[in-house]
Amino acid sequence: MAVKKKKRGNIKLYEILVIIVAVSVITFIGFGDYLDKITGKASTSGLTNLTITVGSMTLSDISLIAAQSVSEAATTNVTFSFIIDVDAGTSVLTDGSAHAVFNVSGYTPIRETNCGRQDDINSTRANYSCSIFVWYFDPAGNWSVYANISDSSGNKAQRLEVWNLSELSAMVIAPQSLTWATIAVSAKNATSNNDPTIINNTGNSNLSSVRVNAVNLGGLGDGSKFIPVANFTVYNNTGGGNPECSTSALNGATALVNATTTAINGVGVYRGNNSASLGKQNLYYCIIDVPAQLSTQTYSTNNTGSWTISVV
Amino acid sequence: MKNIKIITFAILILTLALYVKAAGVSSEYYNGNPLVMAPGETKDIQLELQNGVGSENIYLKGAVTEGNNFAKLIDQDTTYYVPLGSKIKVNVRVSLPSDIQPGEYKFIASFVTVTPGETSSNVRLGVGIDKIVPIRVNAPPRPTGFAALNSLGTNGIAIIVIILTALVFLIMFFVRRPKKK
Repeated sequence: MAVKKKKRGNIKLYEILVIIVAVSVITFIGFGDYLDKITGKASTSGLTNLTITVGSMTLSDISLIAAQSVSEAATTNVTFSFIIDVDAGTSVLTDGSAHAVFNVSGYTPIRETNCGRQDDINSTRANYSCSIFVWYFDPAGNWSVYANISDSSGNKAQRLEVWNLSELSAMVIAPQSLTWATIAVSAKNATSNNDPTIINNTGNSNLSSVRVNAVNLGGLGDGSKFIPVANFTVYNNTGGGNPECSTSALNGATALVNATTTAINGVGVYRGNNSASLGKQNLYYCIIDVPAQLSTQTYSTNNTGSWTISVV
Repeated sequence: MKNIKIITFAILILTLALYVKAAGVSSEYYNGNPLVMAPGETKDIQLELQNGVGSENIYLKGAVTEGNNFAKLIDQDTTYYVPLGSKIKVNVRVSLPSDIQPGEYKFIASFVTVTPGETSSNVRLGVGIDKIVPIRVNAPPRPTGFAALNSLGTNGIAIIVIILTALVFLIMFFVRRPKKK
């Protein structure tokens, strides 16, 4: 009996030791991490998909749509395909009902298209191809593609997947140069005679700031003479009283700084359909003071470098 | 009025207004979809230059103007020739230091047209695009299993062994202690 008791005691001891060691190891190697991960919040991932099967039809796959980039001031054709499995045979599918939609949260319009049957993979499986045009001003983001198709009995199969539309920061300016008519020295508030510089946002990014990096205008004959760029102002408005020459008003014209990127007060170019006069800005220029000591000659950026209109 | 000198500006507007200048930079990463990395990690990504609606071929000079302590253009020539209607890839390497704190970061890649100096007008205009690429630095995942043990190092493992041994002796002491009668 004593031996049995001793053995039982040893067994208990071993059991306790094993439990302690196990608990210690589990604690140290991170089981707590798994507990940390058990929360009430659903996990998210970059790409998701949802398949709904109705009757004997399953839209089993939408081909992976790689990250797409819009093209400047143009449409981009995004092509993909989907596979439909139908127990009753592909002959019951209604080709005219094959349809796909692109959309992104908080944005209208949606982009949609009808899809066409490419081929029958076998008697119960068919492959459909779809092409949807995305416009240059459609916003970047995780876009959903929702594809669906019906059969002759009205059964419907659908599937949802997500793909990424890249962000394009782009613009076009016209004209590429600025000119002034002949000006007398000491003249004040001389405005350009070929402005505005028209800026079109030709991408899908909201361009929050328009900046001008300008340099002094040097004399083409006598290089020692120049018009300081600090005497130039820029604004996105013109009219009576030449507001492009006035830096006094709140958010008025902006005086330029030599060889320095200077943001123009309150000027951004938001994305939009240029054809609908959206996504546009005009810049107007003024020489507020022509220095009295200048000599008679042509002044330009030929010897000093160009001005750069940039956006961010 | 007699003493007023005349400043003559070249007024060769002629065809200038017919021409437009365009540039674009596209990125897969933007606000709302940042590049996600861990401290000490290196990733190569691509930006895409476009010249879709200009009137001429352009050269774009590229540089990382913010965040150049961890991002750089890795193409041999960072002045990119972008023919009209084309798209050109720009390779960027992002290398995060191992001691960077988790959080939101960004780098700005700037591209400016290389504009010939000669012009018949007073001011020649070029265009520039600053592309912001946001980066989210996540804390490195806590190691588990053998990786966790490795991460503790020799000292850490020794401490664990000592604690476990002490526990064993403590339990043996209580289990084997003769019961008081």
